[in-house]
Amino acid sequence: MAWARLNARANGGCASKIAVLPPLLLGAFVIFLTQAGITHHIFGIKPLQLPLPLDVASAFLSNFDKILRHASVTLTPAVGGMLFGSLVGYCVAILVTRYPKGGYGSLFVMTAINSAPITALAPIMNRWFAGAFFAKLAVITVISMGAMAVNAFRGLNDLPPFSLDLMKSCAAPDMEIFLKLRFPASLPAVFTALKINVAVAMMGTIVSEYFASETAGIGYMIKYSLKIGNQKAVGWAYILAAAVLSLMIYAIIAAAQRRVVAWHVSQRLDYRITV
Amino acid sequence: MKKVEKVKMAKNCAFVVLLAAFVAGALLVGPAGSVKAFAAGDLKKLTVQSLWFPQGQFAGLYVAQAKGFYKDEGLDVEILPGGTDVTSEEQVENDVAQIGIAFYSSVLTYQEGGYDLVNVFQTFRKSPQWLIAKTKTGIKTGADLKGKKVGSWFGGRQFELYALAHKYRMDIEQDIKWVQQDYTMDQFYTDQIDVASAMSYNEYLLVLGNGYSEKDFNVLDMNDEGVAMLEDCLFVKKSWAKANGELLSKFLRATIKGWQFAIENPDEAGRIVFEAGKSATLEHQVAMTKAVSKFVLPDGADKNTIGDLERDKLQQTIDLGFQSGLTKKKIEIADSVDDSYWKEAVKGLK
Repeated sequence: MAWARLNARANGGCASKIAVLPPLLLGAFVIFLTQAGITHHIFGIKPLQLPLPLDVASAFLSNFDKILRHASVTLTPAVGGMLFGSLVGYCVAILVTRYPKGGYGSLFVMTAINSAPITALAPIMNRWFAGAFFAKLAVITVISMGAMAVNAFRGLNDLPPFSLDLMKSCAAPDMEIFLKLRFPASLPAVFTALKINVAVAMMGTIVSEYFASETAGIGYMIKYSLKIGNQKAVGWAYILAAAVLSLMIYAIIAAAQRRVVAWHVSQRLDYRITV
Repeated sequence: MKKVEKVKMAKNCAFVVLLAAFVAGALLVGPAGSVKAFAAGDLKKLTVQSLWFPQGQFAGLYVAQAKGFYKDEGLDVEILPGGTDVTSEEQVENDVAQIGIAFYSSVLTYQEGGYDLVNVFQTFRKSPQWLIAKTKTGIKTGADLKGKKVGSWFGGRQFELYALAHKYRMDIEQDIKWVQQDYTMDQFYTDQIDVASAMSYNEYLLVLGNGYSEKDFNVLDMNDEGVAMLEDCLFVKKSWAKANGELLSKFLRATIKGWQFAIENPDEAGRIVFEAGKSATLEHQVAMTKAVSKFVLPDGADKNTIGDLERDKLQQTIDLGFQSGLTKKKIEIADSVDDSYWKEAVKGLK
């Protein structure tokens, strides 16, 4: 175990540096193509319809204060809903693990709820909740439960061979089995679910804001700006802001994952390369 | 360790090759084909991008289509319905349609954004935009809006409200609590908003039909407030108009005839619109057709002036738009409006 951890530390940093290079290069390449007008030529669109990256950048900088204000409106329910929904999902996974006979069906129900389109949920929640914040929180909670429940259930039950038998043969109480065996075993799956939920939560919040009555938030500003002929670059600046925010939350979760489950096979270099 | 790096390099190479293949593929496919007008039989095909679902607001066009006025001019006209996420200006710029319906104020923003568009026919010559507030709120003029929750549909429909706020020296973003109004009037009924946007030809009629009487609320008319900006107009691409001037004049002439018929026969016009879309009841479409008549043909105006591009009103829209932040520069009216096609169209009228 100690060896694995050391090895992961030693190679982890180096590997991740190389790993981010191709996507960064791809991004820079696409931005270059767009700025040079080649993307526009390929797809037959005009700079009026797809603003040039430099125009978007300058709109981003000149509206930075406003973007921060709207970003906080979007980020709070997105992160709050994601964490709360994930917590609910995890609790369901625990219940299903404890009472598999009665509870297994609830995973299917969760998955079914999870696949409800945001465009349907958002207007419903806007009617149920008076404040836009709680409406968004509710949407994100609902759509982030499923991924966590399914993933956490798998983590809670994918145990090292014979470990459960060993603990049972020592008459370990359920709580002990959970804290010492199931909980640590579930952590890698929990992080997988959290990573899925980052994208889902940002997307869900932004779409919710399309339908909300509140005139704030990144989603609202994207909708608002793209409909006005001389504000397209501003709209794209908000799209950029949404992407940056998602990446930031993702990075935080990935960093936490590296610290918390450094022992896991997914964090080890040999695994990363062969899979 | 060395082996590992090699495997990694190979993976990276594969990735780059895939990427290159993707870009090459995209290059080969080339620009998306653009839709062009084509002749159907002897008739010239024209497509109009409407602003919304078929309703009395556009009665003149649906009447001209159903009554064969377009066919008489040698045109085969298709009217594409609009929707929440259809932007007429984009559709015309992308050649999906040759003629678009939009608020003139909204067209101004696209002109400033560099779109090659020009207003050729001002359908509504007065503003139909009202704000309504329940009598108990005590809101009677624009000055009372400070700190209140005001509903707007946005998407280009908010600029008269901005001009109103600007007129009373309010900070547009800080002094009014703007609320996104949906396409029902529920937020108004349930007091979620103090003031609701209501088109006098549409939502106002809906509210009246919903158990409210005229005494129950105060109306703020943008014309009375002096912040009227022109709404529904017909616009085209300048380059297209230059090459198809005669065609455009024919289209405008038939459209004027359509509106004349609709104003004289609102019941039949309402039925035509109802049949075209069934987006609301027959009674509502007839009532809407009647209500828009006074914006298309203001009291006392000659029936052959329908669509007239009146410079003073257009200029007021440009000026108010500039003052309230709609455009950053003041648009030149000569670049924004071209009345030559309309003048040619009315020559053929009796």
